[in-house]
Amino acid sequence: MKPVDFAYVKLKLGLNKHKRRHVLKTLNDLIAGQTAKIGSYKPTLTAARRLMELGLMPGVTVRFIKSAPMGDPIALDVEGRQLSLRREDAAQIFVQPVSN
Amino acid sequence: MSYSAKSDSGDVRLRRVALIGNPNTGKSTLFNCLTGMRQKVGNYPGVTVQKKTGIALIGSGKVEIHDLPGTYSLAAASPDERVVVDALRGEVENLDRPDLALCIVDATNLQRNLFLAYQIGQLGLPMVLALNYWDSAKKRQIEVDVEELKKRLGIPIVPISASRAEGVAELKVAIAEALEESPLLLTPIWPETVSDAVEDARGLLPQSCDERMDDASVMRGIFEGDDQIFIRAGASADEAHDALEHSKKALFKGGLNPANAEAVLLFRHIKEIVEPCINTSQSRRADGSESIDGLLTHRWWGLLAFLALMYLVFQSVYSWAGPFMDLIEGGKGVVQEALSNFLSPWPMIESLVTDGIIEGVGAVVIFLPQILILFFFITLLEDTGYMSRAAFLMDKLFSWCGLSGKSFVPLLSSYACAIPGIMATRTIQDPKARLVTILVAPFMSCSARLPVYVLLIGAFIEPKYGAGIAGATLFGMHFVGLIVAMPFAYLMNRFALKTPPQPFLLELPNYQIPKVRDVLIRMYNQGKEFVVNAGTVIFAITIVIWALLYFPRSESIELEVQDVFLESLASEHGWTAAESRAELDASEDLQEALEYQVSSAYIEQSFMGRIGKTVQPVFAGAGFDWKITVGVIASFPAREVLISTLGIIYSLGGDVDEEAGDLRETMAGQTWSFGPKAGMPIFTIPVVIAIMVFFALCQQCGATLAIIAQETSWKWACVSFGFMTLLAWLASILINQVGSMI
Repeated sequence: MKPVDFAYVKLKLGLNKHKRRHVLKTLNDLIAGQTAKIGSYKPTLTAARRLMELGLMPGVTVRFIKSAPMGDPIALDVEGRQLSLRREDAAQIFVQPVSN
Repeated sequence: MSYSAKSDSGDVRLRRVALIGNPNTGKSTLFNCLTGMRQKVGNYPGVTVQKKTGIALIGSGKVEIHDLPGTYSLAAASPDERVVVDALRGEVENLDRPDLALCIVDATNLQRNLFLAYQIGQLGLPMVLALNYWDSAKKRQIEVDVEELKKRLGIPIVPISASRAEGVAELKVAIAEALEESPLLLTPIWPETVSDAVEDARGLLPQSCDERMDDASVMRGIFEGDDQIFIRAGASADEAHDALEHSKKALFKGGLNPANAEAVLLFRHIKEIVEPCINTSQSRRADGSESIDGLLTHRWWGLLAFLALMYLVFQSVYSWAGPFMDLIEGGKGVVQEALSNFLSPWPMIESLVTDGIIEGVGAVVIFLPQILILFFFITLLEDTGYMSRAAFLMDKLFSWCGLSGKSFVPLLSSYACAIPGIMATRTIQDPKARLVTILVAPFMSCSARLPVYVLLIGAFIEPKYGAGIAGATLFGMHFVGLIVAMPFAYLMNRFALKTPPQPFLLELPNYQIPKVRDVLIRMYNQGKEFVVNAGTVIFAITIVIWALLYFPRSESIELEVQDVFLESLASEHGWTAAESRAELDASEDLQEALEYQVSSAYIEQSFMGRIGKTVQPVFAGAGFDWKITVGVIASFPAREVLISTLGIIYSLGGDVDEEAGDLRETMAGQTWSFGPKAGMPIFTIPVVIAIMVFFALCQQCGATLAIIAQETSWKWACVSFGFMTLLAWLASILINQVGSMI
């Protein structure tokens, strides 16, 4: 049997909102102006191939520009290009925030 | 000198160049620049992806340029991308494999753009690379060492600025040379793991399949995880599956994730190749676009600017097209009258020509002003880069029901007319979102429904409840379709459509100044395509409807009606038969009244009238008598004909309009002549609302069906027709039944 990833389950259930900073961050958690390095994708992300073709590769540094007026989707700066994706997809991409 | 080659059949054909690139690389501008007006627009067989070819004069010869849809990669996810792959492989019907790929890339974003170029190079197609936006690269101080890059890629590279036509002459020279020399892109040396995986796959594929596929095709199959590639080459489903699984395992053993191996390896290679050739003196940031976006995608100002822009677009389609449409209507009237005078000795020919043929041509041409104006704005919005921002702003409103932010402009345009609205869905790349938008568009309350509302509200709601309620009803009627459409979209998306959703990934391109020529060529192409494709269907429908209203026609009816008319005159005024005949001959008013009664009698016994009478019981629940039913049935090809049909049926002539007082009075005076409700008025408030809701929801527009069929397939046109009609029927019955109880 596969070992249960409790951190992931808790994240899924939203049990650890109060200590969010200790769990893995996703693109969805960034705030406007924040820069982060793309980590890995969750395997559930259907858009993985297309995202990579658009340059959103693991290891690439992106900047969260802003979210749309109604909160979703979000706009990113990926190596000088602006890219927009929905929050449901963004929440499946782990990132490592970079201090400016 | 002419760059032509002998094809297999022995006849001389033009050399073919495929123009290909990522979206937003200025591909259309370059295409227009190379070919000018020598363009042909059509569709690829079986799919509704626009196929554009054009002739370019290169050197002293002609070359055929084939403009492929913009794509980020050859891993086909949408019909557009499938077409690109098939065309490059030479697998499209009646379309030979191109001799050369002209790959256009954005010089300010070389690495990502080269990804596609490398995938094409892998197919073994000779290539020329055009580095577009050279001017803005210079402005942003991005220096590309073209000579070094040429050496590293092994193909001709020409920096251009397509919007200013700079470098195009050099590009033409390079194309001419490349057609002779067939330069190939130096393909990357793949790590051993990849060649192992290819070997593994080959080992499991049958002999025939193995021979037909080169390493590059096998590799594409493995990278895309697409067993169809092997099946098409002759492998059985099991063999293809086995080959794929084994090669995936081989990749995995070598430490590669099969899902992203291509992207990782190729980008790594591109970085090695390209990085030494680029010198950027400042940090790479989005340029001025981001500061413009500070306003245009701002939380408040952005929405405000969006609303203002959309108001402009809507007004232009809704109002500005009006004078042109009036002009077409007027012109049609003049032609009809001229021909009618000329053809009057042959009544049937006269009717066929004026009410059938001229009417049919008019029915097609009448849409052109709206289509051209809408595409004027759509091209502006797309070419400036604002369209993506509009989708970015609006996406949240639409995402929950399977539409996307890009559905906004098509749906808004559908409030003026569904025809240009549905044509505008071409801007939606995701095929599923596009289909749902197309199916929802006819629900939007188009301008052809307005006269129906105005007539009924003016005749029944306003006299009873006053202007305030009348205005509110008119306003409310515009939302009936929308309120029904959104849950419909949700259900379609959730349960009916099996195509997997594509992720919403939107590039927000840098703002550009659009080229007038690009705008004009796009308007011309769209208008032409509409006339050629949907136009013929609309024309045919008009002729059929004319026949249904005209036949069968026996002259005896005219005499019968005249006798009845004379008798009623005689009894009314106490005249003798001879006196009333003399009065009739003397009075033009009486003659006109008789004429109207004759056309009313004709329509009653025409096929359409008979269908109406037969079908009437179906609408009994909604409270429609046979006259309303004929009006409803006759409105299926185009809902706006309700008014003139009712005019003819009520013996007022076909020239009445929705403001006409006598039509309103006549309708208000209509009573049931028999049955349980005999003597009671037909047009009660529930019946009036039932009629309006029926018109709001029903798919009564042959032109819309034709355009849905053009943009998708007849299957979806039938679905749209069946579903909307059923819904309208149910809703009208429900409203009448519930309304009558209150």
